Amino acid sequence: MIDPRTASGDLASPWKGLTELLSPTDIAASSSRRSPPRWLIALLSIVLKVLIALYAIAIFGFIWVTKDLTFASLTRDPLFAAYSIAVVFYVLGRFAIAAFYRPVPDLGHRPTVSIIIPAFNEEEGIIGTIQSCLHVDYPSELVEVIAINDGSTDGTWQAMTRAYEDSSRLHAIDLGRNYGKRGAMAEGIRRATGEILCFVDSDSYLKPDALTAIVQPFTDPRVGAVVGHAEVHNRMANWITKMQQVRYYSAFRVIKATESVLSGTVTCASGCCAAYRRDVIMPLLPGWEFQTFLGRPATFGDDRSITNRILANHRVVYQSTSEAETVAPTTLTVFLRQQLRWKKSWLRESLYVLRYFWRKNPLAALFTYASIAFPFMAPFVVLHAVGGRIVAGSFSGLWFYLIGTYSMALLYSLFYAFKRPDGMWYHGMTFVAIYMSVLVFQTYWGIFTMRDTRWGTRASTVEHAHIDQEMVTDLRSTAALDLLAVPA
Amino acid sequence: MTRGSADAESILQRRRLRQLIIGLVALPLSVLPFVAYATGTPEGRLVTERVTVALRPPTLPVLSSGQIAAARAAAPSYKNAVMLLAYHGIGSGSDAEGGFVISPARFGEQLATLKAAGMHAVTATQVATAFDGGKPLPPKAVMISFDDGRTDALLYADPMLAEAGMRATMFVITGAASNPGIYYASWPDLVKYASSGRWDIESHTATLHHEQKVADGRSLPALTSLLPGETLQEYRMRVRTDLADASAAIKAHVGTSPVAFAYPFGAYGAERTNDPAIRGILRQEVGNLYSVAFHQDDQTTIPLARANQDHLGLRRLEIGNWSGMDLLAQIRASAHR
Repeated sequence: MIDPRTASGDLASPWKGLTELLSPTDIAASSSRRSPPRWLIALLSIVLKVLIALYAIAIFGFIWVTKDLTFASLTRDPLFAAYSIAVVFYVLGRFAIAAFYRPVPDLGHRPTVSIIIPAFNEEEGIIGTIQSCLHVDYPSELVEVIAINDGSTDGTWQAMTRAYEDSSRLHAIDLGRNYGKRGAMAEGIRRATGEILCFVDSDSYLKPDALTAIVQPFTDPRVGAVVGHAEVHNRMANWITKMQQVRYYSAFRVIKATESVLSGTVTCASGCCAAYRRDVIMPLLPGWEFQTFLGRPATFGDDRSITNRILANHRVVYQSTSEAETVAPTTLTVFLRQQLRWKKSWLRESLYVLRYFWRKNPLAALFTYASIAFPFMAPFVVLHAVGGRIVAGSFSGLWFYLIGTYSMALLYSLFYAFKRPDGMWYHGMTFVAIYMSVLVFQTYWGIFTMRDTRWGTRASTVEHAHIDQEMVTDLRSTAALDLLAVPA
Repeated sequence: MTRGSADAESILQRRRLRQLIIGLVALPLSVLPFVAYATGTPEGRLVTERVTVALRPPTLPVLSSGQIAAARAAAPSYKNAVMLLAYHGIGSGSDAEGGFVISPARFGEQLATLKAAGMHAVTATQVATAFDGGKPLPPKAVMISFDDGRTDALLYADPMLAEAGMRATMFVITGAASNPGIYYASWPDLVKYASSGRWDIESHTATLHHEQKVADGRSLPALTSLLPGETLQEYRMRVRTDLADASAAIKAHVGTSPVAFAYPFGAYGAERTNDPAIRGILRQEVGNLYSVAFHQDDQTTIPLARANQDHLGLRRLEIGNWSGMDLLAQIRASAHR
C-alpha cells in the first residue's frame, strides 16, 4: 500500500491548503461567494513556483558571479573569507542533500504504540492535545494514550480526569508533586506497554495520520528513534509565530531531512513529536532521567539528550509525513528565553556529540562538526564584518557581507515560499535578522549562564528525585487494553 | 457551527488571504536590496559590469564611410615617433579615485577612429626596444596605456582591443594585484590577459601608489617625498626595494621582466616633493631597472615621443571623455609641435 501523499509527491499536498483557503468554509457565505476554479488555482500555483525557482537560480547566479570577491578577500581577511565560503557550502550542501530526502511510505507496519504526554500547568491546551492523540487514525486496540500530570498547580489534572471519564482509552497519571519534565516522561515510559513510545508535548497536536506515518521507519531494525514534522499551530497569531513557522519548516525539512538522509543521524528528535523503540530507550532511562551537568540537574534538553544517547548506537530518522503542530511563543521575551534554553542544551549535548560523531557517516560528521564550530565563530564574524568596518570607515566589505547574508536568508525563505503558498515566506528574513543580531550571541551567553537551569518558559525548577510511588494516582480503565497482551 | 466560531473562521480566512497577498507583493520587492547593491555600491557596480560584459561583450562602433574618410583626412603622418596615451578606468563610474574614467562607448569610438585613421598601436616594450636602437616603430604609432591594473579597464578594453586588432600596456600596482579585492585585477586575471598577447604588463610600483603625510603636514606622493625623519639614503633604499619588488612580482607571475615604468600620479620629483635631491635619486633608481619611464605633466604641450628625448621622462597624453575626432586632433597638434 502506498501513502497517497508520497505517491502524489510533496507538491500536491500544500496546495490543497490554498484551495481550501480560497474556497470559503462558511456555508452561509458560500452562496454569495464563488470560489475560483481549481484549474486556475493550479495554474497560478505552477506559474508562481516557476517564478520562485527562477528567482532562486538568479540568486545562485549572483553568488557565482561574486565568488571572486570572496576568494579575492581570502588573502586579505582569511578567517572571514574562509568562514563565508564554508557557510555558503554548508547551507547549499544541506539544501542539495535534503533534495534527496524521501519519507518512508506506509508499509503496513502497525506496532503497538504508547503515546506519552507529560504536562505541567497546561489546563487550556491539554484537552486538545489528548483529543488529537485519541483520534489518531490508527487501529484503536494498538494505541494507548498516557497523560502524566507533573504536579500542576492549575486545573490540568481536573482536565485529565474529565478526559479519562470520556474515554476508556486514556491512561491518566498524577505524580502527586512536581518532578520536572524528565521525571514525568520517565514515569510514563515505565508505565507504558507499547512497542513504540511516541512523545507528544502538552502544547502539541498530532494530525490524524501522524501516528501511522511515524512508525513506518521502524521497519528498519537499525532505527531507534523517529522525529515527525512540526509546524507552528498558532502561526497566524503574530510576526513572531510566523517567523518561527518559517524557521521550523526549514529546520525540519532541510536540516533534519539532511541528517536523516546521511545514514539516519538526526541530532535532535524534537519533543513536540518523536517516537522511540521501547527496547532501545529502556536501558538508557536511568542515566537520562538523572543526567547532571556541571553539578546541576539537566532539567531541559530532554529530547536532544535522549536522541544523543540513542544515536550513539542506532539511527534516528525524520519522517516528513508525520505532521504535528506545536504552540510557539508569541512574545519576543519568551521566544528568546526558549532559544537560550535550546542553546544551552545544544551546548551541553554537543560535548557528547564531539566524542562519537566521527564514527558516523563521514559527511554527517562533517556537517555536524561544522554546525558545532560555526556558532562559536559567528559572533566574532558578525562583529568583525559590521563593527570592524564601521570603525574603520570602509563600507565596501560591509555591503558585500550584508548582501551575502541577505542572499542566504532569501534562499531559505524562498524555499518556504516554494513549498508553502501561505505568503509567510518573508518572515524567514525576520528570523535571520534576529538570528544575526541577537541569537548568534546566545552561544557565549549560554556558556556564561550554563549553571542557571531555570526553564524560562515554565515556572518550575526542581532537583532530580525518584518518583515517590506512594503519591502517584494512576487512573486506568479496566476496559483499557494491555498492549503487551496484543499478539504480535 | 455556531455563529461565533463562523465569525472567527471568516476573520481567520481574511487574515490568511491578506497574508497571501502580502507574500506575493513581497516577492518582487525582495529584489530591491540587490538593485541597491548593484547600482549603489562601487563593488556592486563592478559586479553588474562584469555580468553585462559577459552577457553582451562591448563592440567597436561601426563607422560610416564619411566618418572613415574624415578620420583618414584628419590623421597625422609621422615616423620614428609615438603618441603616448594614458588611460585609467573604463566603465560607468565605479571609480575609487574620482575622475579618470571614460565610458566604454567613448573608448570604443576612440579605438575605431584610431583604426580608421591608420594609426598603429604599439606597446611600452616596443617603444623601449625602438628607443634603445632595436626594431624601429611602425609609422603613425600610438601607445595605448592604462595605469593601476584596474578590473574595469581590462574588462571593457580587452574585447574591443581584440576586435580592433590592437595591443595595450597595463602599468600594474603589484601590491594591489597581490591583494586584489574587486577594484584591482588579481594576478590570475592579469596572467590570463597577458597570455592573450594583447597586453604588455609593466610596472607602476609595488606599494608606493599612495600619498603620505610629510613633515610640514602636506600630503605628497609616497614615491616623491621623504617621510618625517627619513634620510635621503633611507629614501633611496625604500624606492629601490619597492621597484625591485614590483619587477620581481611581474617576473614571477607573468614571466617577463618589465622594461617600462609609469610614475604614480605622474609625479617624478620635479614638483610635489619635499626635497630637491629626490628627482635625481628617483631617476637613478628607475633607470637601474627600466629602459623607459612615463609621466603626464603639462597636458597642453605634450609632443610625440622620440628616441632623442629623455627615456626616463617620456610624456603621455591623459585621455579625457573625448570623441574619436577630438583625440585625432590632439595627436595632430602633438605631431606639429
